[in-house]
Amino acid sequence: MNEHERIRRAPPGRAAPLRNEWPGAPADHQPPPDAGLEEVIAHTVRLGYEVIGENIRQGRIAADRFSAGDYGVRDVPRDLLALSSRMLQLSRDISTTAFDICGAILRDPTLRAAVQRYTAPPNPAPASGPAGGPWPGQGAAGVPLTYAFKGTRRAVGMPGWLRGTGQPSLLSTAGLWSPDPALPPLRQVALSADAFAIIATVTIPDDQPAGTYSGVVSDALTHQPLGAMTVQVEA
Amino acid sequence: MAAAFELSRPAHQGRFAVTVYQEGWRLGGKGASGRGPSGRIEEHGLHVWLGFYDNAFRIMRDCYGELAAGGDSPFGDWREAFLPDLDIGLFSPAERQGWQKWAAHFPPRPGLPGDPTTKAEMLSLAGYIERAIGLLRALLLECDVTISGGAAAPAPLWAPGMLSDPARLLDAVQALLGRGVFSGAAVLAEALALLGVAIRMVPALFESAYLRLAERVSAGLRGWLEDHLLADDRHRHVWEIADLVLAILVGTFRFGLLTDQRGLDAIEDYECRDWLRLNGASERALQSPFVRGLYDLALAYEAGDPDRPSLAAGQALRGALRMFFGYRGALYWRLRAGMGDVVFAPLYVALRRRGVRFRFFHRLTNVGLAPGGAVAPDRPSHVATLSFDVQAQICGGRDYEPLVPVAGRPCWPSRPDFAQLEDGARLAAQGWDFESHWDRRRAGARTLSVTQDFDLVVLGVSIGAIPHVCQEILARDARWRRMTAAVKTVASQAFQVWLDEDLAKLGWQGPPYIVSAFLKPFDSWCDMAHVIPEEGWAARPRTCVYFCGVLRDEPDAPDDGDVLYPQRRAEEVRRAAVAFLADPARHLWPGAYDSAGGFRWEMLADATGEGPAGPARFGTQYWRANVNPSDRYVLNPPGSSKHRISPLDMSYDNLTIAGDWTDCGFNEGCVEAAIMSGRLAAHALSGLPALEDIIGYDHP
Repeated sequence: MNEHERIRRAPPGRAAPLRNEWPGAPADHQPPPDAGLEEVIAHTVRLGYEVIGENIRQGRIAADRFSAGDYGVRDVPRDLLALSSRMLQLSRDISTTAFDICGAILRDPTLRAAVQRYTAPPNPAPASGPAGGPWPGQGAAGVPLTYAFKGTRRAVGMPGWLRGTGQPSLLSTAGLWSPDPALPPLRQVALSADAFAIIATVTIPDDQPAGTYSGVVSDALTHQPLGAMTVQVEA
Repeated sequence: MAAAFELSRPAHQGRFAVTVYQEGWRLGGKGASGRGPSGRIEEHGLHVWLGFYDNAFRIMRDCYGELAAGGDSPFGDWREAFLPDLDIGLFSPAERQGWQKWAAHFPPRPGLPGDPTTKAEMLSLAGYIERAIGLLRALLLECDVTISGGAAAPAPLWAPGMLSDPARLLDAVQALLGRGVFSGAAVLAEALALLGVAIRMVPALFESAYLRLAERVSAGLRGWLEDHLLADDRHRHVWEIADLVLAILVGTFRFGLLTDQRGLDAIEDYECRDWLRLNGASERALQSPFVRGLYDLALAYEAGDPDRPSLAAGQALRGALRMFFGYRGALYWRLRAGMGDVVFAPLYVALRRRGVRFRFFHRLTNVGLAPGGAVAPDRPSHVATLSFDVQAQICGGRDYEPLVPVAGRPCWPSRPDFAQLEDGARLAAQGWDFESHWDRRRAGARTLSVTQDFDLVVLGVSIGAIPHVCQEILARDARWRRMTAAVKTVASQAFQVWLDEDLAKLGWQGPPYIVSAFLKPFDSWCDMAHVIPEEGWAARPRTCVYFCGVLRDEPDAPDDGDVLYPQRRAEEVRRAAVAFLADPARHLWPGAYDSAGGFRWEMLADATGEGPAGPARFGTQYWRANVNPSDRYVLNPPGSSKHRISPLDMSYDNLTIAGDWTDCGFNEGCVEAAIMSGRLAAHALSGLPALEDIIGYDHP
């Protein structure tokens, strides 16, 4: 190896596991230890409204992005999907349907006013996403990766997850490569966002040798790796 | 190996040129195995892979898949290499007299270990607790005990409608709490059901109510169990497990674990038994074979002293929850052959094919730092040099070829191939032991320099070796000093016997599952008949059995000049094994003894056919003392986790660490922890795999 400038590691995004992502109620929202039943229920309702309020707030941000962006028909914003997913989760967790609570909020002017406090977005929505960006990238929890194939050859893709960036992202890939350097890579890989996942559409030439091919998906703007794709081309 | 596998993935397009420097002639460290006479498998100890080892299985599935895709793989499919098993057992002295055997069958679960997993699919602590309550209720209902007093069963305390009405649920909780004494199986079963439903609600709001309910259920259930099960040997284990689950339940609420941002780390400073005791577990349950078995399997005895059990509560609970409620496919998986054959040989072949280089017979002696003062995350340094003893030179400057074929598959031998080494005949005759910490003989030395010979370093030695190879780091970095002081290791011992009679003939009844909680020093054992076809016997034995346990440290640690130390400890293991077979083993295998009560030594299979008679015949079997610093098993005593350092730590900007001794998210001595750590090390250098893809890293 020739002497060159010393290479340094990049600091990781975080350095510890997330042990418990349920944030709990803020301390000042906790019922006192000896709270009576009515008080506990009051807290339940309060928290329920807060969660609904947060969902409505995020929904509004998503709607703003949707109207301001240039998404195609297939590019359903994941923000809205995340919202509906959270609503479903809410209905399971709070054990009452989100729509019932929404109904109650809409009927009660006092509560409606209270919820409006939570629905104001803290920051103005961006005027538009980056050119060609197929993925709104809301949240850093990750998004599933699925595959579609073009060509006559049979192939299987390994489903995985792409890391979320919390920012709109322009996805890019340099293709899929075999561990055997003698085999040609799969260079025609198009990435698009569907309602439920990122879809890697891989074109497989008729003369492509069978084997396993892998590649990295990265953010074209920051060059951050977001995840890996692996497909197996069958004989 | 996991870090090398990740960094050499084709996805990186050759960004990293990886070279592995390895002491001696084989890979695997504590997981290494070798092939001895008749191609028999010789292990460091007893290895099984638990059904939640998702990262370990992910790597191996990728490895086997890659080799198969390359065509003509001698290793086959990963599903042929790992064999599912659903039964575990305990065999221990009974309370009054005789012996008690307890076996549990764990039903198969959907999926396979290593399947892609989303974060949403990982259980939350509330989810685990809900399953634990379900287990408790099932245990309770499984005991067919008449309700005393003949009282009519109470009306159900909860109804499905409560899931959509928290107020009704809380009403039911309050009503139950107003009942006074909880008694009767039916009331308790209903109370548990109610608790199980309640746990699904938003936890933060109800913790005080849950805690009161859990404590009341716990008190009532303990009373009921004492009345009905304690005198009944058949059901005593139910009582003991229920008692422990109740303590966990109460402790979860009492310590606010459901909402604590630290997850189970919040109780990591407690010793596991102490924490359970604090939350109401009885002494009987704490000393039960079930708990002893968990300590035995984790080799959790400081300095190898059976009177010093030591297991941090948080990780112990995390491990138990994942083991019993987080497995996929089967509870645990046996390896078709040795760890070396099933894990490290395929990894080696796959890595070689990817272009990874291996330098065997390189013993690390020093990690040299750049000049400077004290090191800390805010005052980082870097590795400037890596010094090695070159233990042997390879003839003609070629690469050492480490694998040998046995039964058609590439395997690691138990001894190096001296024919490939310069002056190999002399080294063999003089008995050079390349894996002994105390044998410092060498053929040369070599120092690598940053930017000239390397850019980035993954330090993969075990914690026991750190004081010997990282003197400069320890001198300048207080965190590393605290880590090496806090993270303890323990020596272990193991022996294997090949028998010409199978276990049924020896008098063992039941499936050949892994058995723990037996007598010290060899408290854990497993029938390994399934590996015999992978060995190379001319006349196959009927079975082989592996035993293992901790090995007590001598009062004074041996100095580096005590070259005979490993042989002395190995001889100690041999004597212990012979004594063990001569007497305690009769409780396991009554059929192994003649009419005079002597062990039938002639059952021990000997490939030469010339083995001596009597106890001396044990000399044809295999035993070992794992006393090398890097071979010692890593413990997780209470209060030690916070001193572990993560592979993601930035104190050294060109160094990361890997091993089950690091702060890897699952701080327990096991292959899953080692592989999680290796994947974290790869992430530290390359950004991949994403932390979210390291299964179980983000876990309560």
